[in-house]
Amino acid sequence: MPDPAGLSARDWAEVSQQRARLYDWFATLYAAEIPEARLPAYLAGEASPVAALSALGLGTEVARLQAGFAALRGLDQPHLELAADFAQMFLLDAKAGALPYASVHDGGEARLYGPAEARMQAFLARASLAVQEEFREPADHLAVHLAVMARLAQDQAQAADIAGAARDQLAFLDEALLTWLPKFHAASEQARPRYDIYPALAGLLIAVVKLDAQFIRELAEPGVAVDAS
Amino acid sequence: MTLPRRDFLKAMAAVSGAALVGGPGLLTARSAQAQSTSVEMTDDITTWKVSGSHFGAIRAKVVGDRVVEVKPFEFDKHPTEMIEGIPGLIYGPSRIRYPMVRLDWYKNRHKSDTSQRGDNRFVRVGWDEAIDLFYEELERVQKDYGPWALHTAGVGWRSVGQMHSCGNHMVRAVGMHGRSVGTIGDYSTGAGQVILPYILGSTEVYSQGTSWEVILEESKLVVFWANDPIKNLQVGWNTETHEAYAYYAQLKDKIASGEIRAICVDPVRSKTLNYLEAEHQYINPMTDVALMLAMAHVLVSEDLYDKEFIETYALGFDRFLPYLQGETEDMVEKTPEWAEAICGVPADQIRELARLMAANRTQLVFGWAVQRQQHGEQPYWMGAILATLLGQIGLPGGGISYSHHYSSVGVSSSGAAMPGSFPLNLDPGRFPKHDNDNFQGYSNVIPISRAIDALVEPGKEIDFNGHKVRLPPYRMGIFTGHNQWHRHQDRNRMKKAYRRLETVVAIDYNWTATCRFADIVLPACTPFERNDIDAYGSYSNRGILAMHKLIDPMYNSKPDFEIFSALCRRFNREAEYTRGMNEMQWIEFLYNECAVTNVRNEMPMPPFDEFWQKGFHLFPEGKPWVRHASFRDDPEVNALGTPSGFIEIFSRKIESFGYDDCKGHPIWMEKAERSHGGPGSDRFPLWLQSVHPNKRLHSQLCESEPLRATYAIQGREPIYMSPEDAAARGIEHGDLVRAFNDRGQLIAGAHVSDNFPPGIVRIEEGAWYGPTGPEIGALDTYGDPNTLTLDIGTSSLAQAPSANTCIVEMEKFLGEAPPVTSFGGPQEVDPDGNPIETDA
Amino acid sequence: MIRKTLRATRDLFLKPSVSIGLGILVTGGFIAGAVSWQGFNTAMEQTNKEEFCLSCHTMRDNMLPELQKTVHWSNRSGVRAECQDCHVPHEFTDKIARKMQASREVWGQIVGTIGTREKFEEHRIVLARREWARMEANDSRECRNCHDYGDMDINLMRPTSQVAMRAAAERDESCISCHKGIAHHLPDLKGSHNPAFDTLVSAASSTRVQADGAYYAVLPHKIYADPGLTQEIGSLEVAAKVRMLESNADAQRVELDLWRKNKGFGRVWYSNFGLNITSAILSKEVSRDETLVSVLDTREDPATGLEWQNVKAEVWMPTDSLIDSPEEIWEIARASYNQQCSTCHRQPEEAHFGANSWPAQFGGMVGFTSMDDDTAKMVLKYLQKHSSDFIETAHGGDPTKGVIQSARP
Repeated sequence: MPDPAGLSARDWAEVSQQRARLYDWFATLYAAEIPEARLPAYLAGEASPVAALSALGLGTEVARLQAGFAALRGLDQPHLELAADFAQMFLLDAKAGALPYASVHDGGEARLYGPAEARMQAFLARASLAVQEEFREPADHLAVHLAVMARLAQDQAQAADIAGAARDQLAFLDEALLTWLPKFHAASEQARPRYDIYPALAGLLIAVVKLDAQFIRELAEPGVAVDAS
Repeated sequence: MTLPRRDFLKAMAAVSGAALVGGPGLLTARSAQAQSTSVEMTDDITTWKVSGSHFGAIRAKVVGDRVVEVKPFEFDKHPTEMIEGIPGLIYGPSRIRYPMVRLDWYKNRHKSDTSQRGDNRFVRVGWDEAIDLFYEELERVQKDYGPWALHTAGVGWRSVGQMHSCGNHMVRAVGMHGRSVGTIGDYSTGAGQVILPYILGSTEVYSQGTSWEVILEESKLVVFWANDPIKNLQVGWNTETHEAYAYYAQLKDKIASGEIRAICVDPVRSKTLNYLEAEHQYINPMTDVALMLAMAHVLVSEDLYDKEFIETYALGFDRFLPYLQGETEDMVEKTPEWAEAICGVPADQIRELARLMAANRTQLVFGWAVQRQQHGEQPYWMGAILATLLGQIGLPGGGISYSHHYSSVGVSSSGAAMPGSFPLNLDPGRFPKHDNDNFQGYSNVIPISRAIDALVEPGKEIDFNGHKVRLPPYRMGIFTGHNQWHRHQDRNRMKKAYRRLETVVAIDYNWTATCRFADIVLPACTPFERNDIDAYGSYSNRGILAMHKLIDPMYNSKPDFEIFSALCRRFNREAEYTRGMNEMQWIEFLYNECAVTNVRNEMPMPPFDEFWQKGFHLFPEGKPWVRHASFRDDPEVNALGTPSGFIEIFSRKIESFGYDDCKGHPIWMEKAERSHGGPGSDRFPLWLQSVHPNKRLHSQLCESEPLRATYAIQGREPIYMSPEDAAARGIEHGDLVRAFNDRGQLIAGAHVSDNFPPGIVRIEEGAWYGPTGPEIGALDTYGDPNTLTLDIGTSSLAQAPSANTCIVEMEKFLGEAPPVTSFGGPQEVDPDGNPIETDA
Repeated sequence: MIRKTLRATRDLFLKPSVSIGLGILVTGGFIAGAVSWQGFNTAMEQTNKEEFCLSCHTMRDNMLPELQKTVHWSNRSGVRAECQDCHVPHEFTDKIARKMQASREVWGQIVGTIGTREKFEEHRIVLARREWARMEANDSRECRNCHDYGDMDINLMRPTSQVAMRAAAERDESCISCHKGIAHHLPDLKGSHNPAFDTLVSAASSTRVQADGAYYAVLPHKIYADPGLTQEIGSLEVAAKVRMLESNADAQRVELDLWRKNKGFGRVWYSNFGLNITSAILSKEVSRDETLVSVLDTREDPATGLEWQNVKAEVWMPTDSLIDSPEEIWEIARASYNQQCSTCHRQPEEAHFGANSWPAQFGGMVGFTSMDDDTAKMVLKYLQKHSSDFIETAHGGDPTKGVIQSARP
C-alpha cells in the first residue's frame, strides 16, 4: 500500500540502503585514519561518492574535499601525513582540533562523558546495541552516531510504517546529531590542520545530514512545510 | 537549502554505484549484559568507593562504569575544593587517549627536525609499536652512545599511590635495561635542602616539626616568614588529611583573643595573613637577608642575644660578628638604617621586631618560596642564625621551622609504619642488560634544575656542593610523573635547548606541554583507573588508605605497571620486573609488609581483605613533640648532623669551597635583577613572584575547566597586581595584560587587589604553557610565568632554581588577543577579549 | 649408705627443685619402664604425639595459633608438620635425650614459669635460644628430614629468595641460620625488632674471642665498670670496634681506643678523628674521670675548629656480643638501606656524601622509613663507614657519581 506521503515501499527500501551506505562511509572516515592500503583510491577520487554528493547540490563541498586529497598526491608517505591530520583533529586535546564528541559541543563545560554520552549509552542499551570493544571511545563519538544512523536506515528499510520509521530517524537526527553538529563543524573549520580534508569532510557531513533530515522530515510529517534552513 | 524529494532520491541512487568502502561495523549486538557486579551505591557515602589524591581522600559514587560524584572522605574535616576537579581530571578533554608519535620523528627517528616539536603533528600507533619504538631507542642510545646520553628525568609530584608510583616503575624498568643520568635535588627546596645540613644538621625542609599543640600552648609570637600555609596545606605528598587546618583555626582564635601574636613577614598580604587576621610586616622583595642581618645587629648591640646558648650549642659566632659590625667583606655595618634603605622596613620597626622576638617565646616558620631565588641559601642560613641568637631552638614553641606549611607537618605522628612502594631499584644481585657504567668523564648525577644547562652548554663543568659536575650532553630524555615544561624556568631558553635532544619520551595522562614537546607519548591511566594503596597523612601517619579502582582505564591508556612490563618483555625480564606478582598481589604485599612492623609495635592491623573491603585503617593520634629538643637536652649524644655536631653559624666546610656566591657565613648580596631600586628595576620595575597556586597542585588540575572557571580571567591565568600599578598603566580588573621582559612575553588576566603593594605582581606557577607557535619568543597565550623567569642556579653551592628572581613590565593588551592554546577548544575572542560564540 | 641413697631418692621425688626435680618425669618413666620396656615405648609414643604437646595450654594457646598462620601448617600441598616433626629428634636415642631436656619445659609449665602468656613471652627467648642452639648443633637435622637442597627447584622461588637460596645451597647452610621464626613468633630481642639482627646474634654467640683480637659489637650494648656488670657506665654502638683483653664465662673486658670532642662532657666517642661516627657513649659521671679515661693525644680539627682527643678506656661488657668482622653487619645494613631508602627516590651511593654529611641527610629522611632505632643507627653507621671519607671510588671519591633520582617535589 503506497505511503500517504507518496513514497513506495520499494523506493523507501532502496533509498534506505543508499543512505545507510552513505552514513557508513562518513562513519568510517571518522572512526579511524585511512589505512595506507586504501588511501590511493581516495587520492584517485574513486573512494568517495562524488556523483551522489554533487547530485545533492554539494558540488562546491565535494570539490573542496577532492582538492584536499589532491594536495596529498606526490607526497612521501601521504597516509602518515593524513594520519597526523586525523590525530590533530580528533585524537589530541581540544587545543588544535575538533573533538568529535557530542559532550564537548553540547554547551556548558567542554568535557568528555557529559550527559550526551550517558544518553547515547542509554539509547544503545535500549536498542540492544553495543560499541565494539576495540573502539575505545565514548559512546557519543561522531562515528557512533553515524553508525547508528546507518544501522537505523538499514534496519528500517523494510518497515511497513514508513512514516513511523521516518519519525524515529528524524528524532535521532534532530536530538542526537544536529544539536551539536554545527558546533563541531565550526570547530573543524577553525582547526587548521595541514591539509583540508577533514574540515572539508565536516562541511560535507553537515550538509548531507541537513538534507537527509529534510528528506526524512517530509516523510515523517507529510504536509508540513519544510524549513529552508 | 531545499532539495525536492525526487532530486534527493535520484542523487542517492548514485551511491549504489559508488565503490565505497565501509569499515568494520562499529556496532554489535549487545550480549546478555552482565550487570556491574559492584555494590549498589546509595546516598550514604560509606557505600561509595574510597580513593585518595594529593588534594585529599575521597568517596566516589560509581554508577555502571561512570564516576558520577566525588565527595570528601568523611574523616577529612577540612576538605579542599580541589577534589571537585577530579571528575574533570578523569573525563577532561586533555586526556591522552592513545600512544602517539610525532610525525617527523616517526619518519626520521633521531634525525628528525627537532625544531618542529610543539607543532602538534602526531600519528597514532598501537601499543606494541609504541613500546617497540621506545625499546629500539633505548638500545640505540646505549649501543651508539652510552649511559651518559640517556636522561631519566627527576620525577616530580606524580600521583599518590604507593604501588603504582610512576617514577619507580620508570626508573626500575629503564634501569634494568641500562644506566642513565639521574638528578639530585628538586624544584621545591633545592637550595634549602643543600644549605641546612651544614647549619642545622638536617635537610629540615621535609622534617616533622614541633607539634601544633605545643606551639599553641607555649608560643607567644609566631612569625610566618614568606610563608602561606593556609594556601599550601590543601595538598600533600601522600593523600592529604588536612588535619593541620584544625590547629590554624585554634591559632586564629588565640590571635583574636590576644594570647598569641602572629606576624607575616611578606611583600604581599597572603591568604594566611587574611585568614588569621595576623599582622603584616611588609618587606621589599628579595631583601630578607638584609632585614635579618639588621635584626641580628640589634640583638647583639642591645645585648638581647643568648650568649650561653651560643656557647653551648653553636660554633662560629666569633667569625660572623665582624661582618655584622662592618669589619669584613663590604665593610658596612649592618645597622637597621642600612637595612631600611634596602628592605623598605623602617629602622625603628626593625628594632621593635628584634626586641619583640627576644622578649617572647617565638616560633619562626619559614616558607619555601624565599629560597627559590638567587642566593636562596642565604635567607635560610640567616634565619637559623636569628633563631640561634634568640636561643630558643629546642624549646617548646620556640626555634625555627622550614616545613610547617607542608603536608600537615606539626600534626604529631602516630608512629605507625606506612606502606612501602613498588621498588625503584633492581633486585639484589641483578644488573642491567647494558651493564655499562662508563659515563666518559661526565657526571651521572646532575643538579635537577641544571638539566637544561646540560643541553645548552654540554660538557660544561660547574660547581656543586663542594664538587665539580660535568654536565653530560644527553641525547634522549624520559619524562614521567612531572611536567618539565611547567617547572623549569625561562621557557624560550628551554625551547632552544630541547632541539638538541634526539628523542623525547613522555608518559602522562594529560596533554601537558611536556607531552606536546615530546616524540613518543604514552598514555598512562589516572590513579582512579587502577587499584592502589596509600599512606594517609605524610607526617601524621594517620592511617592507610585503599585506593579502589573506580573505573577501568579509559581509551587506550594503561597503568604504568603494564607499560613498563611490556617494555621489559622486549628484553625478556618481565618476570624479574614484576617479581611474578600482579597489581593486587603487590598491594597486599605492601600492606602486609608494614603490618608486620606495626603489629610488632602494638598497632594491630586487620587482615588485608578486611582492610580492602572497608577502604581504610586509622591509627591512634600521636604524641606531641618538640623539634630539636633532644639536641638541646644533650648536644653531645644528640648531636646535629653538621660537620661539628653543633649549630654552625660560620661554616668552615662551606668556606673551604671558595665560592664567591656562598661564603663561610651569610652575606647580603645584590641580585642579578631586583625590583624596588635594585638592578634592572628602571626597565622592569615589577617583581614577578610565581608562588605555588591556590587551586592547583603545581600544574595538576590546570586542565580542569570547572576549577579554572573559578579563577581564570578571560580564560587566562590571573596576574595579581596592586591598584596603583594597574591605574598607572590604565589597566582595570578583568583586562587582558601582556607581561614581558627580555626573556619572553605572555598574556594574563588582570586581577587587581589590595593584597598587593606597588611594584609586585604575582602569577601562580603551574599555569599551562600555550605558545602561539613553536618559534622562540612566541607569546604565551595562557600565562605561564616561567616564560619570563631566569634560569640560573641559586649559587655554586646548591645550583637550585631561582624562579623568584624575576622582574617584568606589563601593559594592557590591546587588539585581538590570540586564543588560549593550552587546552580547551580554540576560542575566538573579540577585540575586547570576549569569547565569540560559534554557531553554524 | 643405702639409707642415705634412699633418703636422697625420696627427696628427689618429694622435694623437687627446678634443677633436680625435673628428673621426676622421665625418671619416673624410666623406673616404670625398667620394669616394662614396652611400657616405656608406649610412654614415648604418647609423649611423641602432638596431642601430648598440646595438652598443656601454654603450647595450645601460644604455639599452636602461631604455627597455624604459617606455611608449615597450611599450604598448597597439604603436607603439614606436627610438633614432634621439628622438635623431637627422629633418631631414637636423641629422642630420649631431648625428652629429658623437655621435661624442664613441662615442669616449667607445671610450676608456672611459663604458665601465663606474659610469662611465656618473657621466657620465650630462653626457649627459642635453646631450640636454635639445638638445631644449630645438629645442622638443622629435623628440617632436613623433609627439606633437601638437592630437591629444591630454586627457579620457582621469588627472585630475591633465589639469590639467598643459591648461596645457602652452595654452602649447605644450616636452615635455622636464616629461617628463625618460620613457625612461631620470634622472641623480643630486647629492642631489636629487625629479624635480621637474629643472624648477628647467632654469629656473636658462636664467635670465640681471643685476647688482643679486634672485635665488633653486633648490637648496642651497655658497658660496665665491673666484671659483675652492675655499674653501668655507658653504651657501645653497633659495629663499634674493641680490643679484647680478657673473657670470662659471663663477661669480657675490652679496650676502647676512640676519639672525642673536647667540649662539654666529651662523653660521645667516635671511631675516627674528625668524623662523627659514634662508637660509644659514656655517662656524664665517668666521661671526665681520669682514672677510667686516658687522653693520649690532642688535635684541632681544621674542618670545624674543634679540639679532638684520642681517648682510651677499659670496660666490661656481656659475652656473646661480638664478631670478628663488621662485614656481616654491613651486609644487613646495605640490604636495609637499599630497600628502605628507595621508596620515593633512588638512594644515593654510599660514597656520595662524606661521613659528616650523612647524619644530616639521613636524619632528614629516616622518618619516612619504617626502620626501628637500632636498624637506623646501624644503617647510618654503614653509610658513614662507606662514605667518601673511606671509599676511593673509580671516580676518585667524587660523590656526585652516585645515582640519585629524587621524587620529592
